[in-house]
Amino acid sequence: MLQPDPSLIDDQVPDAALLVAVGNGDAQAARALVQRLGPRLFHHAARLLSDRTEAEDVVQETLLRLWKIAPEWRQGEAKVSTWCFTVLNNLCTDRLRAKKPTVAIDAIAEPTSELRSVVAQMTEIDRANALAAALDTLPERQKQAVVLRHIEELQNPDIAQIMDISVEAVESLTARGKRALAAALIGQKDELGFSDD
Amino acid sequence: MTKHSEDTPDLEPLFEAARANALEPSPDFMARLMNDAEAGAALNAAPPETAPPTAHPGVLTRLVRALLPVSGLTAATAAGVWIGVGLPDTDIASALLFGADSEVDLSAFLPASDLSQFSTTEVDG
Repeated sequence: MLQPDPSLIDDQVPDAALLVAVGNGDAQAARALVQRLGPRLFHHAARLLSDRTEAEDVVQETLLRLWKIAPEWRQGEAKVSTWCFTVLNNLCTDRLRAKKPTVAIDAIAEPTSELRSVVAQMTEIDRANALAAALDTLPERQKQAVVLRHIEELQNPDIAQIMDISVEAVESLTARGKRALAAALIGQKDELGFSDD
Repeated sequence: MTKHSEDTPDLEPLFEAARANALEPSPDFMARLMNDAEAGAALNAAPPETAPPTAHPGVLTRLVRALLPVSGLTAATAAGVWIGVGLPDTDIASALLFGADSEVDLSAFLPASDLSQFSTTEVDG
C-alpha cells in the first residue's frame, strides 16, 4: 500500500482541493483524504454503533460514495468533512433503527457497593467506557448531537447541517443529552472525576 | 474544550477521556480504505467508454441540420414546379393547378359509366 505524500496530509491543502484532485483521478490525493478523514469517521461510527465491524462497514461505504461524487464536487459549496459526517450519520441511523431500541435511562440500575469499589479504581479508559455506556442509553438523536459536539468537537452550524436540523435544535439536543448523561452518571461522579457545580 | 453551562455538571473530563481512548481503526481496515481510494481515483481518471460528442459538429452535419427544417417546403416547391412545367397542358394538370370548376373538367376524372348521371346538364330551350 502506498503512503500518501506527507505534504498532502498537511492541513495546508484543503480537503476540497484534494477531492477535486481525486475527481481528476489523483490517487495520492485520495489516499491523503483517507488518512485525514478515515480515523475521524471511524471514531464517530464506532461511538454511535458500538461495534467495530459495523463501524468499518459504514466508513467504507461513506468513502466509496465520496470517491463517486468527487468529479462533480464544487469547491465552496460544502465542507468535505461535513458531507462525510452527514452520510456516515445517516448510515449509522439506518443501522441503529434496524437494531433493537436502546435501554431507557430509568432502566439503568444504580451501581452496587461492590461496583462502586471497582469504579473507584477507574482509569481514564474506564471513564471512557462509562461514558460510552451512558451514551448508549440516550435517544439516538441526542447521542448523535452530544458525540458530534462534545467528542468530535464540531461546531453547531456543522452539526445542524449533518443532522439536517436548526442550530437551535442542536443546542437543545446537546443540552438535553448532557443532562441525561449527568443523571445517568451522577452516582459515580467522584470516581469518574466530574463535578456537578 | 467545551464550556459547560451552570445547570449541568461539567462532563468535560469524561469527554476528554472518550477522545483520548477512541477505538482506533485497524491497519488492515486502513489498508482496505487506501485500496478503495486508489480504485476510486483510478475510475475517475479512466476515459469514458465511448467518445464524447464533439463540441463543434462537422460541416456536413451542420448542413444537414440546417436543411432539415426546410426540406418539406423544398419538396413542395419542387413538386409545384414539376407539375407546372413537366406535365403537358392537360385537363388534369389544369385541374391540379387551378381546381376543377366545370363539368367538363370533372368528367376527366370520372369513369365513363358515371357520365350518364351528368347528362342532364343540357338546358331546355
